Amino acid sequence: MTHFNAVEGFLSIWTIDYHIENDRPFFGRVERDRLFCCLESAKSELGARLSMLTARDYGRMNDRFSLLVILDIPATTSYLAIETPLPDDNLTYRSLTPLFPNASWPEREIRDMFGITACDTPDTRPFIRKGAWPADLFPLRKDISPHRAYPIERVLLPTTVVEGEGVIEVPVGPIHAGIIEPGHFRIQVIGDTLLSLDAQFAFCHRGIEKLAEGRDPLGALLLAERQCGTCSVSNTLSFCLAVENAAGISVPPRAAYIRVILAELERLYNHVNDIAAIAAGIGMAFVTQQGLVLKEELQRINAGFFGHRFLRNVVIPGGIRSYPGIDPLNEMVELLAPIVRRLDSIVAVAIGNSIFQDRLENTGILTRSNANELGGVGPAARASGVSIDTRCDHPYDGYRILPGFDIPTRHECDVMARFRMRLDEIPTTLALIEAAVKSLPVVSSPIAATIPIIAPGSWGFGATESARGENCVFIAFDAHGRIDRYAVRTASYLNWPLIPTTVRGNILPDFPLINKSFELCYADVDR
Amino acid sequence: MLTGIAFAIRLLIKIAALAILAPLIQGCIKQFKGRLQGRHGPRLLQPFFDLIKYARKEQVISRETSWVFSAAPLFSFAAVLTAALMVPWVDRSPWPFPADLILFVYLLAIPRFMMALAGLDAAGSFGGMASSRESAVSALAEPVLLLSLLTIALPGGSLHLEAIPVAANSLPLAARAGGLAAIAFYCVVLAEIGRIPVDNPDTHLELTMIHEGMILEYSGPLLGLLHFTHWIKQITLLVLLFNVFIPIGMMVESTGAWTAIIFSALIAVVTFLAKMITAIALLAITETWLAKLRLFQMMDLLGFAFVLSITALLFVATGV
Amino acid sequence: MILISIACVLLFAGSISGLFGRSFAISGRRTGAILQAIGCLALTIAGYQGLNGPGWESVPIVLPHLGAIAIGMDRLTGLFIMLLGIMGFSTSLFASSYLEHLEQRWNFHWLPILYGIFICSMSGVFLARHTILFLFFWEMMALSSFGLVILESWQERNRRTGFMYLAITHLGAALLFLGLLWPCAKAGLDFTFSGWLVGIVSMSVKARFIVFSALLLGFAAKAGLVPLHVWLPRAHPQAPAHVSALMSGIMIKTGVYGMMRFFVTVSPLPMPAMWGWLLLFAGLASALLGVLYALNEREIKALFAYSSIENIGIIFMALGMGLLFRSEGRYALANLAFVAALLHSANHALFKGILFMGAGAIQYRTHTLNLDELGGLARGMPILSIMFFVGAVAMSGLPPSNGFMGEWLLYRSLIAGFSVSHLSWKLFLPLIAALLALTGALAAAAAVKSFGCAFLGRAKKVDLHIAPDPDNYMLSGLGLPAFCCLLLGFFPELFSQPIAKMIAEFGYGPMPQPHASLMWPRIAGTEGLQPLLIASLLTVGLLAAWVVLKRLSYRKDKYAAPTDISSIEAIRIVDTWNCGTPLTERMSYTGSSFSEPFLVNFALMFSPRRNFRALGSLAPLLPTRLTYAIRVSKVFEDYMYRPAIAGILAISHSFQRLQAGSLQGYLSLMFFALIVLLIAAK
Repeated sequence: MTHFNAVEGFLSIWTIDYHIENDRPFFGRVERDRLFCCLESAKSELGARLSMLTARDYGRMNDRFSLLVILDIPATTSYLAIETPLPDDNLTYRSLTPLFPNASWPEREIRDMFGITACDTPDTRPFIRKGAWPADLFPLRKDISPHRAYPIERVLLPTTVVEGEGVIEVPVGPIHAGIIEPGHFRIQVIGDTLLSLDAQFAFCHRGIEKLAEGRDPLGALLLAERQCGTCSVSNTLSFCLAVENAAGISVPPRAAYIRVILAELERLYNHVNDIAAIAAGIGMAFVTQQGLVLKEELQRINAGFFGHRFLRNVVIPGGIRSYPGIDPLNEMVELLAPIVRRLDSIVAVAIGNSIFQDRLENTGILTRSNANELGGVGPAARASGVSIDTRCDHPYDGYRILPGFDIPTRHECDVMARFRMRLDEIPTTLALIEAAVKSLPVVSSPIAATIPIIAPGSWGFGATESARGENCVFIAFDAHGRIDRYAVRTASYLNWPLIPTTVRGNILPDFPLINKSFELCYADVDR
Repeated sequence: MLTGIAFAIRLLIKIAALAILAPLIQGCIKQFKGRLQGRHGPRLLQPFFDLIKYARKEQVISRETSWVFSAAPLFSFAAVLTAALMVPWVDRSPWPFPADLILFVYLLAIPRFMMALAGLDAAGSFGGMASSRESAVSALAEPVLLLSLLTIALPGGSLHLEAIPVAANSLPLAARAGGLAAIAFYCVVLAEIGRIPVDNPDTHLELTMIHEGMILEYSGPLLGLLHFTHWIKQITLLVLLFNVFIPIGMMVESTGAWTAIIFSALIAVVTFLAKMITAIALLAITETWLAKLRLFQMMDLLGFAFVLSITALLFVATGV
Repeated sequence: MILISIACVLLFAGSISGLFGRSFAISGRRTGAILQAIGCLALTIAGYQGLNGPGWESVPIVLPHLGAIAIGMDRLTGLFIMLLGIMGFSTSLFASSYLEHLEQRWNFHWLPILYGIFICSMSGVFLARHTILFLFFWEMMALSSFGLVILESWQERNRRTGFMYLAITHLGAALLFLGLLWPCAKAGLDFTFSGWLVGIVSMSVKARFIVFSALLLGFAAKAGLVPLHVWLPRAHPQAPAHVSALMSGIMIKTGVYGMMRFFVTVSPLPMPAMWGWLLLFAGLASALLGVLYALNEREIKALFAYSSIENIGIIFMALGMGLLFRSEGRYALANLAFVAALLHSANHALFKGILFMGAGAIQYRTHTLNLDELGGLARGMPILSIMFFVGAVAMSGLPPSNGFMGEWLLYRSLIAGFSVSHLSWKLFLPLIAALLALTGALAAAAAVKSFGCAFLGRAKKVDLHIAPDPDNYMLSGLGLPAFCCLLLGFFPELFSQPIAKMIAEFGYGPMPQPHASLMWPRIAGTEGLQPLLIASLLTVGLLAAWVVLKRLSYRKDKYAAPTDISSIEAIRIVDTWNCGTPLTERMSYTGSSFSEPFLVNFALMFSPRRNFRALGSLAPLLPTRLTYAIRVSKVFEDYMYRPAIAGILAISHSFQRLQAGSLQGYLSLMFFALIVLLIAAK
C-alpha cells in the first residue's frame, strides 16, 4: 500500500490531473515542459522503467497531438501512463533518451510517423522512413489515408562510421541468403573482429497500427493475431487484455485458464525452436534436426487440440472462442511430458560437446547494467540477472489465480546462459499447463464475456509475457466505439537494441549465434 | 611406345573414374548425412543433376569483376585435376611421371590461391571475408598436410605418392606413427574440403561462410566447374588418406598370369570401394556429431594435428 | 672483359643525361635510360658467357703494396652479373618512363648518376678478385644506394631511415674489413682472394671462427637476415621503385654472393656443423618473421621488403643445409642445397623485380601504395595486373612458376637430410620442412593480399578503376622478368644446370648428368620432377575446361527472341550480391582486414594492442563517434634495438659527466688512460 501511496504522491506533485482506478494503469497528464523532470523523478524515486513511448493524433483542431509514456513501476503490479499534450504550433519535446536509452527507437519512430521531434536526441536518423518518402508525409496522422502507396528507393541508410584505417563495412540483409526476415545489419569490422553493429528495420513495415484505426475490436483482432507468427497468442492476448481493460470487463475463469495454456504452449514450442536455432548457429546438425522434429511435434499438438499450428483464432476479446474439453487437455499434457524428456536427452548431447560449450560460453555477453539501462525483457534479460517477467510483475488472466511459480534467472550473461535460460523455463511452463488443466472448472460456465458498447474516448492497456518478453498494447477508442489508436510495443522492439551492445569485440562468425540466442522477431518491429 | 599407350589408357580410365565417382561420393555423403540426422537427404545422383543444371544455366557475373574471376575456376580445376591424377587409386605401380608429394601439396595450394583472389574480386565484403579466412586456415593446414605425409614417406626414402604405400606397408612402426599421422591428416582433410568443424558446407549464413563465401558470385557453368573441382579434391584427399595410411588391398605388380592379374585387380577395386564407403561414413558421422569450431579455434585443431604429426615424426626418427 | 667495359661506359654515359635534368627533360631522361639499358644488356651477355663458358681473370692495375688488383669472371660471378644485367635492363627500361614523375625534384639529376654508379659498383663487387677492390666496390654500392634511399630527403623520416641504413651497413662493412683483411695480413699482405684463402687455411681454429663470424655478420647485415634486417623494410620502400627492385633483387644478394664466395668455395676447410645449423635457424627465423610482418604491412613496397627478408631466409636455409651436408661429407647433397640457394636467389631477383616495378607503376598512376586505399586496378590495367600476377604466383612458390622450383629443391635437400643418421637431423629437418610449408602458405597469403587488395575489388578512397596501364617502356620493363619467371618455371635447368656444374667445380659431388630425359634436376641421388610435364598437364586441364565452358556459354537461349544479340553469349552483367543494398567502397575488403585473422592467430608474435573507443554522452549504448586504432609490436625493434639504443644512450649520458669541461679533468683522464695502456702493453 505504501507503494501505492508513493505513486499517488508522485502523481499529485507532477500532473495536471490524474486518475487511479482498480485494474487499470495509473493515469496522469503532465505539461510538456515538465515531462522530462517528471520522468527523471519517476526513474529515481519510483525506479520506473520505460515500457512504451508513443504518440496520439486526436484529429481535432486544437490540442491535436499528445505524447504517451507508459512506465512500469516495479514495486506495484500496475503500469503508469502519462500523457503530455503538445502545443499545435511546436511539435517538439525534450528527448527522453538520456533518461531511458531505450526511448531512442520510439522517438525516431514518432518523428517518422507523426512529425513530432525530440530535441537533443543522440540519434537523429529516420527509423521507418526509407529514402523516397515525401518529407511532409507522416503516416499515422489522421489526415493520411491508410491506403496510400509509398515510393521505394534502394538506398543505404547512414550509420556511425568507425574511424580507423582498414575498417570495412559488412552489410547483412535486408535480403538474406537464407529464409530470414528483412533486417539490415550494418556491421563494421576489421577483418573478423567486430567493432560496431547497427541494426536497421522497417523494410516490410505493414502499417498495422494505421490499418487498425476505424475498425471494431473483432476486426482489429485479425490484424493483431497476424502481426507475427510465433507470438500470435501473446500479441492477441495483449490486444484482448487492452480491449477488456478499456471495456472494463474481466474474462470468465475457464477462458482465463485456457489462455494460460495457450500462452504456455506458445512459449514451449518457441523455446524448443530457439534451442534448435542456437545449435544451428554453430552448425550442430544432429541437435538442430532433432530439436526441429520436437518443435514440429509440438506444433502438431497445437493444431490437433486447438486447430491451428500457431494457436490462432482461439483468443478473442472477452475470453476464448472454443476449447477441446478437459479430457483431451489431460491427454495433451500426457503427450507433452515425453517430448520434454526427449528434449532433455538431445540437449544433454549438445551440452556434453566441448565445441558446443566453447562456442557458447563467454560469447555475446549482455551485462546486467546494459540490460537494465536499455530495459531488456524476457529470457534474454533474465539470463543477465534481471528478474523481470510480466506473468509475475503484472499478472493477468489465469496467472492471477494460479498458485505461485518460480521465475528462474541466471547470471552468466552469455549465449550459454540464454540457451540454458530456455531450458530452465520449460519445467515452469509444463507445471503451469498442468496446473491450468487441473484447475479448469468442470461446470459449463461461459467461455467468453460479451463486450459491451465501449464508452467514447476510453482507452485500455494490456501486457503479456511472450517467449521473448513483455508485449504491450495500448488501445484508445473513438466516439463510435471504434479503434482510434492502436499502439503495439513488442518484446523484440525492446530487445533488438541490446544486441549491438553484446556483439562488440566478438568475432564476426559469432554474430549469427549471438543473434540466435536472442531469437528476436523482425515482424514485431515492422508491424 | 607401349608404355606410352598404357599410360594414356590408365590416364583416361582415371579421368573417367574421377568424373563418375567424385560427384557420386558427394551424393553419398549428403544422403548418409541426411539419414543420420533423421532426414531423407537428397538422392544419390543429385550432384550429377546439379552439374547438368549448372551447365545449362546462363552466367550472371558481377560488374566489379576482372579477368581473375573467370580465370580462377579454370586454374583451380587444372591444378586439382593434375593433383588428382597423381594419387594412386587401386594400383601401386609407378607412374611414368613422378608424383612428388611436395608437388602434390603445392598443386593443392593453387586453388586456394586462385579462389582467395576470386573472392576479393567482386568487391563485396562476403567474398573478401571468406578469402581472408581461407588464407588463414590453409596457412595452418599446409604444414600439417606436408608433415603428416612426410612422416609416412620418409622411412621409405621416396617422396613419390605411389611409393608411400609400399613404404608404409613394409615398416613395423607404421602402425604407431601412421595412426597418429592419419588422425592429423584427417584433420587437415576436414579443413581442406571445408567440412565441419572447420567450415559448414550446408550453410549460407552470410557471416560464417568460408568456401561458400568465395564462390558466392559464381553462377552457371563456372559454378558447376567449381563444385566439380571441389568434389575431385574431396575424393582425392579421401583416397590419399586411405591408400597411404591403410595401404591394404592395392594391386602391386601387373605381371604374371592373366587370371591372377584380373583377380588381384578385382580385389583391389573391391577394397577401394570398401575404403570409399568407410570414408563416406566417417565424414558423415564427423559432420553430424561435431559442431563448427569458433573461427580462431581452428588454430587449436590444426595445432593439435601438427603436434600429432610431430609425435609421429618422433616415432619415425627414433625408430622406436 | 670488353663487354664489361662497354657496359660501364654506357652506364656512365646514361648517367650523364641526369645532369641535363630539366632542360631536356624527356629526351635526356629517355636516352640516358636506354643507354643504361643497353649497358645492362652487355652485362647480361657477359654474365651469360661467364655462367656457361670458361672464366677469365685480368689485372688492369698493379698497385704498390696492394699487389695485382684483379678482376675475374667465373660461373658464380657470371650468374650474378647475368641477373644484374637482366634486372638492370628491365629497371632501366622501366625508369625511362617512371622517372617522369620524379623529374620535377630539385635533386633529380642525382638519380641517374647514382643509379649508374650503383649498378657499376654491384658488378664490381661480383667481379672483384681482390679484397681491397671488393671492399671498395662494397662501400661504393652502400654509399650510392644510401644516396638513392635519401633522395627524398626533405622529409625527416627519410633522413632517419637513410642514416639507420648507413649505420647498419657500415657496421657490416667494418666486420667485413676484419674478416677479409685479417687473413690477407696473415698471408703476408697478399690482398688477392687467393691470398685470403692461403691466410684462412693457415689460421688457428679460434681465429678462423672469428673471421667467419665477422664475415657472416657482415654479409647477413647486407642481406637483411634476422635480426640484422631492421634497415631493409624501411630503406627499400623509400627508394624509387626501380631502385628498390634492384636493391631487393640484386643488392641484398651480394650477401649471398659473399657467403658463396667465402664460405662455400673454400671447401677444403673443415667447417663444423654448427655453421650450418646457425644459418639454417637464422634463415628459418628470417623466413617466418619476414613473411608474418609482410602479411601485416599495409604499404605494398614495405610488404615486399619484408617478403625479401623471408626469401633471404629461405636462401640462407639452403646455404645452411649445404654447409650441414658439407660437414657430413655428403658433397652431392650439398650441391643440391647450394643449387637451391642460388636458384632461389635468381628467382627472387626476378619476381621481386616484377613486384617492385609493379608497385612503382601503381604509384606512378595512383600516387598511393596503401593497400587500405587501393583496389580495382585490374580493370583499368589488365596487362600490368597479369604481370603482377605472375610475380605474385612466383612469390607464393606455386607451380609451374620458378618460385616453386627453387623451393622444391630446398624441400628436397631438407628431406634428404633424413638419410643422415643423426637423430637431430631426422627430427629437425622434416620439422623445418613443415615450417617452410607454413612460410610458403603465409607468403601465398601475402601475395593474395598485395595483388588482391590492389588490383581486385574496389578502391576505397579515390576512384582508381580508370587508371590505365602504364606505357610500353614500363610494361616491357616488367615483361622481361615475368617472361623469365615462366621460362624458369618450365625449364629450370636453364639455370640449375650451369649452377650445379659450378658447384661441382667447387668440389661438391659429381658433375650433373647431361640432358637425358625430361627429369629435373639431374643431380645424382635425387628423385626428380618433370616441370614441363606438370606445366603441360596444367595447361591441358586449363584449356579443356575453357573450351567446355566456352561451348556452354555460347549457346542459343531458347527463351530469347531470335534477333536478340544477348542470346549468343549467355552472360548477364549484374551488381555484386550485397544483400539488397548498394555496394559502397567501404565494403570492399582492405589489406588490414585481410590480414586480421593472421594477427589474431599469431597474436603472440605481434602482441597487437587495439584501441576501440565509443564516444558520446550515452557512450557504450548509443555512441555518436567510434574510433579504432591498432598498434603492432615488432619483436626485434621493440625488444632488441630499442633497449639497446636506449642503453647506449644511457651509457653515453653517464660518460657525459666526464666531459665536465675542466682542463684538469681531461688531463687526469688522459693520464689514467696512459697508465692503463702501459700496464696493458706489459
